[in-house]
Amino acid sequence: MALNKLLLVNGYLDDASGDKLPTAQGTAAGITTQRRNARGRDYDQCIFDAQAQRLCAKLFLHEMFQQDA
Amino acid sequence: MGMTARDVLRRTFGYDNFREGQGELIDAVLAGRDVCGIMPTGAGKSLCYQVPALLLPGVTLVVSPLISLMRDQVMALVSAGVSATFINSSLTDAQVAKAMANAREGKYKIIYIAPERLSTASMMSLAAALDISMVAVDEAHCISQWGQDFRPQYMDIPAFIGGLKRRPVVGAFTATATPRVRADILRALELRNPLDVVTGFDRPNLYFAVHSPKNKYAALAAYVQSHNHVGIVYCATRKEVDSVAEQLVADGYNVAAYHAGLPDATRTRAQDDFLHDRVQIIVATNAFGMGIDKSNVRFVIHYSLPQNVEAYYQEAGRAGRDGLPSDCILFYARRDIFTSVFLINQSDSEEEKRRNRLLLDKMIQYCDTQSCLRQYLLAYFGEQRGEDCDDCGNCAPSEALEMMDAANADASPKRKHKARKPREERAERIRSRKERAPRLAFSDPLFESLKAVRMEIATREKVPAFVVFSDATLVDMCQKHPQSEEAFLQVSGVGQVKLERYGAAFLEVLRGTQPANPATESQAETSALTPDQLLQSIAIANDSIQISLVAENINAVLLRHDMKKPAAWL
Ligand SMILES: [Zn+2]
Repeated sequence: MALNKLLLVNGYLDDASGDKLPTAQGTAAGITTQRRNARGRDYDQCIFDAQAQRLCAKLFLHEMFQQDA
Repeated sequence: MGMTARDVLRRTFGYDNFREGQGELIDAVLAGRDVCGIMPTGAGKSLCYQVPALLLPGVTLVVSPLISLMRDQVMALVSAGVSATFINSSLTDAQVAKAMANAREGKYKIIYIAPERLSTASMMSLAAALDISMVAVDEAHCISQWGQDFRPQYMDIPAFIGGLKRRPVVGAFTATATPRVRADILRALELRNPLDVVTGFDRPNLYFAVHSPKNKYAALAAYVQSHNHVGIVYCATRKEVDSVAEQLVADGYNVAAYHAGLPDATRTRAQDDFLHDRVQIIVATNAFGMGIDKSNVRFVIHYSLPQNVEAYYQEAGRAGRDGLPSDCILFYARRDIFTSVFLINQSDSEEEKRRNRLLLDKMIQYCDTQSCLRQYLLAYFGEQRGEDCDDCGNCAPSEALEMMDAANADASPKRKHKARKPREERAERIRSRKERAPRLAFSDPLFESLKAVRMEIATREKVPAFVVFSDATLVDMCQKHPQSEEAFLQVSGVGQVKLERYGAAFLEVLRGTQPANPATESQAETSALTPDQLLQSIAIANDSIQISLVAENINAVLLRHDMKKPAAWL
């Protein structure tokens, strides 16, 4: 599963608004946003601190191993 | 016994040999002779004044109009252990005052300065107090009124030099100069009996190709998908930039758009994100690029027809400044000519229209030619060479082009191959081309790991990754696979200071003895690894990073263990 999808499924991100944004749980896990701009439109880019990076890696690896098993 | 230029090259910059033209120019400067160096982008112009600066007494002033370039070069110098600073409009008054005070105390060997600063009273008084050995004028073509980059402040340079108590050596450097501009430089800067060095315009590591896909976007997407590298996509209009960027974003790529219609802050952000590898692809009009000193751009794709060959070569030339193989691909559709002609006809001056149409014709000829593209480009700049390069889209179609064709289901009718060779023969040529080019380690898991270490350091030190080490240095690291500090110092681009600063972190990976890293054992053991063990070896950045970079760090480890399933982030 793609990282974003994993984070959505596990309740760290929410895309109800169309953009993927951190939920309260996601914020607690170290996901914040940064204002960016693409094609003339401002958007909020999720960024991941050290703790959140580890979380991503963990979710990904565990899912990968589960599938293999 | 004093240091020689070669010692400085080795110890500070980490290179073994001078490149074409560098040695002569440096020797002349050290002998007190003015110089004029015309060298293509990526040929190592800056070393021509940086190396002598460290050998000459006193300080070297480098006049440069490019704020971002000054900052990058100073960062790179400082990370190599050279005391340097810059003075330009990006600094506050207090910062300028501080830099000037430090300069007075003799704290710098190299000072980069914007031309408009030269005539200020504070600079004149500083200059009077300094022992200036050399004035290096970068982007020297800006002094010529014939050039499209004319900067009136450059005209103040001779007066500034004339006002110094002792005339320093004066060096002029540029990548772009027609004979007329060159004559202007020599005259306007009042160079005295200068050593005039023009190195070839050829950029052997660039692969040029013209491609006429039926569906440009499909071809672009196919290329980008298979080349997970940093690149620039040039478009003809703002509208096109927006639309291509939008599609790429929708397809999940990490993209920034750049054109003059965007607010300043947005553009600065886009440029900065690109420079720091926070975005992979920048989609831009020709407003983007001046002063961008990003060495690891792996492809430049022109989505539409450029206005002329000179602009094309300059823009395409932003690829591969680190000397590694890079692609310059032009998407050519006949209908683009109408857009170009329309743009040209916007001018009020008949003379200008006529001139620009002639220049456009040359550009179209490039797209239409069946012969060697490199030969065509070099001939345009007055360099004749008798033989085909065997290394361009017409001499040797690459897999990339074939793949883009495949992306256009019923292959593009305009795709041209001169007397298309049998498949086997083509494959053979491509193979031999690859052998000639420096061997690439991009897909090497070790390369990915080294990149992750570099990203971690760069993020921590808040500098662009190439300031730590260029891709070329990492590739050389993969190949030499040093195990000791002495061996690490042999890697191209590693000097004494960088060894001390970064050696340990990279050697740890290279030795495969990272304590928390069970990697590098034989792949047979891979299956025995638990997710938690793998987790320990994934690089974690101290600063917050976006998800694509997180995926990259995960992938570095997966690749190292030969796991086929890379982490996608979207
Ligand atoms: Zn060729």
